[in-house]
Amino acid sequence: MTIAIVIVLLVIATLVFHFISPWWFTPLASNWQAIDDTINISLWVVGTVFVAVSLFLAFVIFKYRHNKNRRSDYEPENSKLEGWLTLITTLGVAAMLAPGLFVWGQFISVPENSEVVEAVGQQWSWSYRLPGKDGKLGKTSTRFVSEKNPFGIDVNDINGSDDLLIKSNELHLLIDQPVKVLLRSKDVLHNFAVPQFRVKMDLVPGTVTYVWFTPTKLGRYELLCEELCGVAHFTMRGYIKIDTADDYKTWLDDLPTFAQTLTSDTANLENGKRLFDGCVACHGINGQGIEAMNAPTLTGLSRWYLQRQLRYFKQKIRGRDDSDIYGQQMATMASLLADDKDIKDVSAYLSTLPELESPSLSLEENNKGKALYKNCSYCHGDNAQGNYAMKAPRLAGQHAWYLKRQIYAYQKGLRGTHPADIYGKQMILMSKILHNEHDINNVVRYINSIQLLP
Amino acid sequence: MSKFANIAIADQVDESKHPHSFMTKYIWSQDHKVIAIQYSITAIAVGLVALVLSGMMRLQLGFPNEFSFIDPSAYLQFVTMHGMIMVIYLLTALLLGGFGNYLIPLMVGARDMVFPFLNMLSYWTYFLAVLVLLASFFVSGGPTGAGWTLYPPQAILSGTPGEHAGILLMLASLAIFIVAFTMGGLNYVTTILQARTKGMTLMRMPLTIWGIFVATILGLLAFPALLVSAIMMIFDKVIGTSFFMPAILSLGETLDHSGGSPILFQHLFWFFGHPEVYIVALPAFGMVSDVIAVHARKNIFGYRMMVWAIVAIGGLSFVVWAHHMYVSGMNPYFGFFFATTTLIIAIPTALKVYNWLLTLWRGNIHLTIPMLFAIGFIFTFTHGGLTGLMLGNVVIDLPLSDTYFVVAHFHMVMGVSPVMVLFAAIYHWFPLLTGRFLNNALGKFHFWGTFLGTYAIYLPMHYLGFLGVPRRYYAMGTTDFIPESAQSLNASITVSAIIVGLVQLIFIFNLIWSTFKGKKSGRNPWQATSLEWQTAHFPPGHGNWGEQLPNVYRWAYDFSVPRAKDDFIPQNVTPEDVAYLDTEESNKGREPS
Amino acid sequence: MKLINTLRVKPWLPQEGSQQEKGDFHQLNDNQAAKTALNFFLTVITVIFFLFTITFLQRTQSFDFQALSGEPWLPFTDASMLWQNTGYLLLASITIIIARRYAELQHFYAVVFALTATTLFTSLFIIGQFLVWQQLNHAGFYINTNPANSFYFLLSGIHALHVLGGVIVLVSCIGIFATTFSYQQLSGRLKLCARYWHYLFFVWLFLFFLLTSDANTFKTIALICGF
Repeated sequence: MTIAIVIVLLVIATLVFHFISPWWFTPLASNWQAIDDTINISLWVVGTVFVAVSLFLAFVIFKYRHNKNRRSDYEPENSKLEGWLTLITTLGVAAMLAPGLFVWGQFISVPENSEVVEAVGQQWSWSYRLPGKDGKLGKTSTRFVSEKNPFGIDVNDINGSDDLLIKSNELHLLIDQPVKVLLRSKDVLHNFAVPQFRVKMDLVPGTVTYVWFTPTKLGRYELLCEELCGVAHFTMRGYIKIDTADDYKTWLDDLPTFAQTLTSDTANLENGKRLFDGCVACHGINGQGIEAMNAPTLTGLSRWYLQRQLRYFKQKIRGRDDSDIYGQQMATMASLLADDKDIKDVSAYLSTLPELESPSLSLEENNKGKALYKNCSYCHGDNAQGNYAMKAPRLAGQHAWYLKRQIYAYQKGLRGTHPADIYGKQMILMSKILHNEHDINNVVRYINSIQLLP
Repeated sequence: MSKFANIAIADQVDESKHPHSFMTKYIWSQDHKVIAIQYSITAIAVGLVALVLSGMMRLQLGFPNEFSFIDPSAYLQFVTMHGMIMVIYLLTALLLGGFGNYLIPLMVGARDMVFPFLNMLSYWTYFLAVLVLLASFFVSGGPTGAGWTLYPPQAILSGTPGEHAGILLMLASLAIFIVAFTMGGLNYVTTILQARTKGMTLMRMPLTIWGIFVATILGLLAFPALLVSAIMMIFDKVIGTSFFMPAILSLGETLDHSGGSPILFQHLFWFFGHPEVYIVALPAFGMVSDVIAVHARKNIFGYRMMVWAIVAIGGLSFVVWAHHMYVSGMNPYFGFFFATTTLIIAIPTALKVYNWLLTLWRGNIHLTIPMLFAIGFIFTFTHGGLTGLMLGNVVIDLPLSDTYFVVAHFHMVMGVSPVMVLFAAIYHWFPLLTGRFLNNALGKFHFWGTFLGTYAIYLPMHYLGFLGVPRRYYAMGTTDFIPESAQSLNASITVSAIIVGLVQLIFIFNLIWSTFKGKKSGRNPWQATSLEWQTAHFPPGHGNWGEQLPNVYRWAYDFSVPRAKDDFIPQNVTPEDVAYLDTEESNKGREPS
Repeated sequence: MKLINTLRVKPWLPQEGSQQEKGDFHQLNDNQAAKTALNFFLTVITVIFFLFTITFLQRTQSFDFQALSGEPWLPFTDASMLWQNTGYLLLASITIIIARRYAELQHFYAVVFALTATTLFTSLFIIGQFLVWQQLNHAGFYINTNPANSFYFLLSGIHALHVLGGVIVLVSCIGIFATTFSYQQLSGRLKLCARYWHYLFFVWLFLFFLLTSDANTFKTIALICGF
């Protein structure tokens, strides 16, 4: 008895939940209205069946509940009824399948006029490549991947030299322009998914897959990896920004070609040394960092990391929050660097400075810190040496107070929240695995002891 | 290879084979009933581990900033181990190793499995597989965190937890499990084909046996795919071959592989993985049919259709595997084929649901605990099956795959539903094992907690999927399209999950308490017709049938036969012994067809 | 057809239900049961080798696949060692039939002689296979240098394990015979063993063909199978 009533109530509750639920598809921002329509058709079909079957179940339980004066019917089968049920079910299934297959047909045939973009996935970030003027992408191979050539483009392939490279996780697309996204992975399986566009596809190392859509709404949409790709899977985010024609052109004009990225930019170390004179007051004469001035050590850091951070400071991507006073200080200082050339020079100079032993080193048994650091080690390296491929800076040798402050800054959103801070989101998500000060102290102590470990 | 192990002698019970010492009776037992209980206890125990793991996952998802011992590695390890344990080491082992072992000889009228020694070996091999699996919790790096699908390349590369010892132990454990399953499976099919008692024709077998039979054949044919992929992955990991490994980087380092295909692994995995769904579902279908028939006092409606459906589902389950791979980057034209086959398989499945409903129709439904769980099963299975129709329809899978919609769907259809049947079956057959009922009040509480609790978990979870929340994410952080309210939904799911988990402890308590203190049931308490309730001793002793094997004269569903005096006629009652009522008036049923 | 007829029976009709399947289930037949189990087991093994074959054929079409025969410097262009091993396996398959015949005739010495020969030839096969592995290694064809090598080692290894399993069963049969001296039992078991040996011989022939084909053959096969 109760069960019959409960089933009716569950059906009602399900329907109510369905209709008042605020959790529903994000508004569509691509041409795939057809997918939404198929879903709606299917929902109506399966919803009706669900309600009908459940209510029938409840009715039967109620009507034929135990009664000791009554016997069950004896009816081994009823071929006619079963025949009809088979037929109706088959028709219902066909009604759902037909639109599905039809739309799938559209999904796998890419329109002639679509532009080609390549999205490259790696643990745990995105980058992109456009074919450039010739409309052809250069050949690639993981063998060619290096610090200079992160995309692994074949330098001998003439088609590759004018490819436009986007070494950032944000891709811009032109509104109403069909686009075929070629999907390539450098390491493991990933998945290219933007909920607003509805379509998604895996990236499979060793082959190139594709997905196509036409963005129809301006905006900036979050790109998610939806195929488990390791520990930091949940941090593998990117952005797709849909631009008007003008904005798109502006963005396009700033992109370097592959050939341009290859030309070695010889830095002027003299100029760098001169520029560094402005830094020594806080960072120390050897770049060793001074706690009293709240300035971290700069030695041992890689050129690419220094460049990225100086640009961030200069463009107020880092150090813009009012409560981030030290960041703001640095932003002011960085604005004194006239142009990108200066940034390159001073970074190059800094990377030549001899590595100094950090004063806060301490060797101690620290299993908790070691266990926590395991999560960091995938990007920052087992010895906290940093890893260009993972875009992760060196941590070893950095002052404990500075590391702690940065972890807090990420957790509180003082750092990494700016849309242009492309790897910031990753660090925000990862920093939150440290739940309290105790954890933070442990991991920082471990990082400090790492260089002394055998 | 022990096809030459001692074969149970069908005709007479050999006195010398009765086990006497504790060790031979309970540990190295070759009695299918003891082995069944060993299988069940081990499976339930390891299932409880998986339940705890799921609780920890839910804690992280519901309250992401509270539990500092759950870091991303641990979370993925929980996900992986939870999935693998539940699917293989709990459901497969309990349904086939537990129920299959217990019920096959009793229901077909055999004294034991055909190869008792092999049967014992099967259990201990399974036990070894469980030990190897659990050992991975204690090795350096912990168990693998590659997801239960173990997709290469990430499963064996740095960046995934347990990429050294964990994954190897997992693969080794799976290989051992497959050996155990093959030994058991050969026994089940041979017993069903060769050791049925006189009169027990194939079409007189209870649907439970049909379900177990077809599921076992599926297992025998599908597990090799997992074995093959496990062996090849071990080679890739240990020896450095390139079966599944293309030329790739790993955290910036170039690896020494080239030319392998990760998608090949996925094909192999799902060639096993999809039949696996039915390895779990078919025995459940069978058992729930019997529970419904007994407790509604009515013959199963459309027995032939039910058998055909089981066979058809079994056959079709081998040609739908790639519906797990619509967005895997395989040849997109496969989508047409696999969407079609997937939706076709819905037809026999739907017919089964109709037939359960039509069995209840004009029945005389006793709302006992087994019946409640069976009804719960029909409801959850309908729900889960229908969302499966959506996911199987290839374009709908595009936005929904890899989201919580998928998680909700397969938990509804492959988690909750078979578990409902398992509970129904345990409450139903418990008196046969112990001669006692499980406690009714606790049982009711268990049913309501489980039924309502799981619905409260999985219904909202579908909507997280619609919203686009991806699965296997340690934390969402702030994501533009996900409103704050999704977090409170997650928290409520977690609370439900914890409640459901705790309710299971009541069930465990009930199991233990009732074994010793439960109400005595007496013989055949549910007045069932099938052979397992008609044994010489109750509960059945060693050799099952006393002096002589039973003869079977009818199918297993002679309930409420018109004009018969009792509302059930056991399978071994001769036509002459059936008592009929004389007066027309007391016959409420219709004429036999 | 028989199966379909069985499945069409209406079991609730008492007469119809019992008409089918005249076989007397009362007498469980050891050999019949073992034969059923063996057939299922061999089916399982077939599935395993089938799946390996599929993965192998798929892999033959990748760019880095270098077949093991076809050119003079490739090891199986001259496959005489493998032919020799095949001969051993064939002899083992034949002697096991002879052993069974003599077991029926209860001819003790002939049985012992034939079974010794079976065990010997089977062991020679396994040793021979091992020597081929060593030769490959000496010639620089390591297991992980090329997918063709990987598959050769993998498949011949799995097959050798399959053979070893058979040897263990055969030895245990002989052991049981040594204590019971039941010729009837022995001949029943040898019949199954013979089936097993024939099966593994044909699997070997198939693998032999597959693993030592040259690139063109693979291309043809792949074309036919639609890879």
